Amino acid sequence: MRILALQIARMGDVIQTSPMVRALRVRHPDAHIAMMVRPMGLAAAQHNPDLNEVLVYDEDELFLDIRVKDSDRLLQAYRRMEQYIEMIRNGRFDAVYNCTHSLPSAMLIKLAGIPTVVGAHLSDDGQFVLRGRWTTHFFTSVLHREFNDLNLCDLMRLLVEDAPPAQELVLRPKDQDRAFAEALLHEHGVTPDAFVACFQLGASEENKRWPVAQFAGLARLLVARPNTRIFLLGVKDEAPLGNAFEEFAPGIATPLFGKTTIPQAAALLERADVLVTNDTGTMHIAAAARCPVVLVSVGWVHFRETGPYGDGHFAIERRRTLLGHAQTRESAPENAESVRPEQVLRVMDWAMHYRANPETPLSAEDSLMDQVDVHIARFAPDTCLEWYPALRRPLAERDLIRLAYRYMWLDFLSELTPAREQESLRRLLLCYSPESGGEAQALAARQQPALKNLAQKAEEGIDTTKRLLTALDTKEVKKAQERVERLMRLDEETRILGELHEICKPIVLTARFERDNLEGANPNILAQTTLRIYQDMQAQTRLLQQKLDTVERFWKENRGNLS
Amino acid sequence: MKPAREWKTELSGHTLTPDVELVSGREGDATLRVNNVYLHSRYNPREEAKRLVDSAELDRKRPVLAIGCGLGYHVLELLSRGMTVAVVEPVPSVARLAVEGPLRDSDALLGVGDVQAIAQTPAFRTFAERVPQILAHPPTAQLHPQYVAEMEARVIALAVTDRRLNIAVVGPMYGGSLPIAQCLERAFRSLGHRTLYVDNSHAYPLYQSIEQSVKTKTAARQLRSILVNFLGQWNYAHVAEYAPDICIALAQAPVGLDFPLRLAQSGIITAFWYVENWRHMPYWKEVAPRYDTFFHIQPGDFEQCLTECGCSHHAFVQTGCDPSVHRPVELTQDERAQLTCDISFAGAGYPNRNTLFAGLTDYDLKIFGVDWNGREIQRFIQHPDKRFTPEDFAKIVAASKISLNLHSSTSHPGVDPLCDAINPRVFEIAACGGFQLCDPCIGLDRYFDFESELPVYRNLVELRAKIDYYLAHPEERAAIASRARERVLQEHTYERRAQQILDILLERHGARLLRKGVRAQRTIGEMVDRVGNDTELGRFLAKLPPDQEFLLENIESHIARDFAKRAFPESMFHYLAEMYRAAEAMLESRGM
Repeated sequence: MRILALQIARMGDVIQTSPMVRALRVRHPDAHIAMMVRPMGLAAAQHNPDLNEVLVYDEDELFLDIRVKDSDRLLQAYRRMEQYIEMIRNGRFDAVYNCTHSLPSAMLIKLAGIPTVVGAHLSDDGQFVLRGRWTTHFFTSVLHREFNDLNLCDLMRLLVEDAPPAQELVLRPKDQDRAFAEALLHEHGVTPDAFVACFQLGASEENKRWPVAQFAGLARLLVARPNTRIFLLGVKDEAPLGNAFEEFAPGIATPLFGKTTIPQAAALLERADVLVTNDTGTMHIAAAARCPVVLVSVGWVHFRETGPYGDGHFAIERRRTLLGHAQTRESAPENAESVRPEQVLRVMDWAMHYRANPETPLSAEDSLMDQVDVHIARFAPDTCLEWYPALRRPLAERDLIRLAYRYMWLDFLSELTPAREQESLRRLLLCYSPESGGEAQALAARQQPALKNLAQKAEEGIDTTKRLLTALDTKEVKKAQERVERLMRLDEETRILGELHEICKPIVLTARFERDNLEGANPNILAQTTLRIYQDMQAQTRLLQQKLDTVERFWKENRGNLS
Repeated sequence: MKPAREWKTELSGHTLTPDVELVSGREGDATLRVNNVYLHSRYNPREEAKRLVDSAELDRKRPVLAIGCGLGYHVLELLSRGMTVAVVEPVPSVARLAVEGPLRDSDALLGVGDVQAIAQTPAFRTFAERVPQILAHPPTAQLHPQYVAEMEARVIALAVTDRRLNIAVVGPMYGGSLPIAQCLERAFRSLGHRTLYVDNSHAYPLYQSIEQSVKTKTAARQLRSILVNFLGQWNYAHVAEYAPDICIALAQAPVGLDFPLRLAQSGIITAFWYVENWRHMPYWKEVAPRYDTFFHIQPGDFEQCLTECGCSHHAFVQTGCDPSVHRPVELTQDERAQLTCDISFAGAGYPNRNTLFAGLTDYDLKIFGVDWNGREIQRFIQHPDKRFTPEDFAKIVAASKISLNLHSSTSHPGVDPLCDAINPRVFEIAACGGFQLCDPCIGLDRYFDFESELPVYRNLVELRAKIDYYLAHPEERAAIASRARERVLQEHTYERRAQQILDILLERHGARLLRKGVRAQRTIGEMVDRVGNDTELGRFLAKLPPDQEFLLENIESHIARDFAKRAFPESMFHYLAEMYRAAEAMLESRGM
């Protein structure tokens, strides 16, 4: 079997796709697995031993060729596209996993004509469609991030049917990369017993950046400890951040901007004790290198979704004080400075402690950490990554809903045994303060009516669609039209229900997305698909109701006993 | 010109000249000494080559012509970066040592010997047409500066001269230079270039209304100044977005003093065409030094003044006519009734014109244009506050037996014997087929024969005598008008002026285009020929309008809506368009 993984986003995305590739390798040990990447992802892909082949697709060159509005270069872009299509066709792939989920990536696959597609694709009449059970959830999860408890790496891994657990990112430095790292450390006088901390100051967007001054403050605290060395990682363009750092903390850290390739950085991070970082590609390199990561989660970062994938990584963020209500519209950027250097230093110590003693509990009362939340990443019994509170806090309504959704999706789209679910729940709820209760207890009372309403809408949708199918069979055009109009009104009512009750939103958005992207023009097929969508909506709603009950009941019955 | 490795045999027969000496390097790599000048570092020539190529800041996607081979270290450095390279070397001995040394296995094209011989080879022509960047090897440039300059000029001539360029023309809000700006832009377009006309005339009603609505002079002046500044920013944004190869601003165009400098930072060649009398409008002093080339219409003293004020690149280019608008026209009955006369003048009411024409009030005279204040001639002014268009002008000429021309002057009543600013009206009347009587502006005899093509007058008495004569001799009028028309159509069109402007700009600044690169602007029809109309792509393109430019937005507009009916090339272009849009949206969301 020949399989293509299409990941033409950024370098970090290539690394985050490695659990999916691992799942493919385990499922198809003898398959030829190739990955198509952009040049920035090439090194990461080349250092993944689960891949047999790496294809390079340089979209930046195509973009520039078109941008200059030069006829010869447009022809060049066209010819280069022909070569890319031919390259894919020559691969004779039986299946492609499209992890890029963009319209252009779907078009690329369509042009290449690969028979089986999982992920974004184009139908025969040019509609953007999604193939695969987890694909729609993967695609729409960004629309309801506040209730998404699954990491992107797991979402991609689950695109593979019956995906086995992967539980690591894969990027294997070679011996020469390790030799380079050793030489680099030696060059800078780093002894084998030195504590090596790496910082990543940059981020793709301003609002995702912990201020340089705060990093510098952390550095000053760190170097007060004996034999501590700090390296600043990043690309050449990030050197100005290093200059700014130097203004705040002169002579403390060694800048390595643009001095390492990706595998060399991985080798260096293998030797490092910790990486303190914003949400960046370097974070994923560190996770692959099993270097403990402390992610300072500021701005619009959703660490559950995009945080470091692996055991023992930490995320620290400003404490959200909006308990009791699911809606959160946080204004983020000004909160970056509210995470203080001494708090991050505390988390670093916890990371080191966890590394040495993974079974020793961490959560503690600590007045220094009153205004922040800290989470630790571990793999739950349900095999997906989970973020456990390292600081005991009361359980909020949002937490409960998010958990309920986690188990609902895992159950609905894959298979989650009750035993695994229970154990996952137990381990997570262990981390919450047993004093919290009011919100959890009233949860069902508050939220179930909305879900009941949603289930009723779904039922009406099923009923109306069945009657539509009958009308189509008997060629009663007027009746069919009336039913279609009713379905359109029902869609609108459902959408409003999702706006009014956030707990309904993920299910509503998923159904709506599918309704907006119906494939084909045959009325019967469209109606059959619509029926399936409403049936799914009903099943998901009922399952979510069950999970809410389960979570709430488990918490009520066990919170005093969780230990 | 051929691959370097193919030169070995030919050059092996060449005897090395004593001034070229191969010198062992301190760390293994050799260098050359030519007339006591080292062509490469004696310590680390490869490192030196890296630094040279880094500092040149070349575009990797474009080919490079290296002038000066040395032993070829910089050529190898360019090749190692994936660039397409050709190299020319004036000294055969140097070339021999290079192909026996570092370039022995190289496929880079090499030309050896004098510029003329190399430039005539088909390989050189083909390479030059790809608009290569020039990298002059510094020691070679030091030893052979003339060679480098000539080679560069040859490349420019082949690469740029016959190429379709992108040209922006920035016009004024109003005034005499407005139609000239429009004519110039049309002329560039008919020469086959891609043009942008920045039309500021839309702002003129607003400009006028400021004066009419705000009575306080100071306030009105300030407001007009704000408007002009705003237009300056808008013009810059408009031109910068278009990213032309050349931008020409006409006299009175509302552009700021920093306009050419800002454009120059993007590699755009800037020019200003000052179609005014330098003695009347002194703003040229501030403007002229800032442009790459300052064009004017008055040779002689003015050029000296320009040099003195710091303008080192200036050139004389006369105005002309545009046969598409300046042409004989048929009049309707109404127009004939309105416009017919023995003598007409169309233009602004300068004092000398008011004075001279006051001596013609016993003739059948019609005057068109604005700012006519002379009391004696008021009854001859046809539409006192109305500016006429070029189309109106053609009708005025068609309706007149004699079209008068008198160059403006603020210093002399009547004919100014010192006038040296030939106005475009001379050429326009001739192109419209009109019979013209004109004052003999200095230099006018270079363009017309005063006996057979353009009768002149020096004073009122002479003018009246000629009017009487030519009114009585219609056949002679017609013959003179015909000869004048023939002359201007052959020698004085704006197309010719536009080409003259381009020739000057490319000769002086063509090297900048080489550095920046010139966008290929081909039509769809040309691309069909290029790819072959028996290919899938060719067959698809052949269905599209052949004169449209081969750009993605043009092709996309012709892609079939029905996905199932699309040919493969259609799907490909659709993909490229979607990919481009998605990438642009992503960049925009990041504020890039």
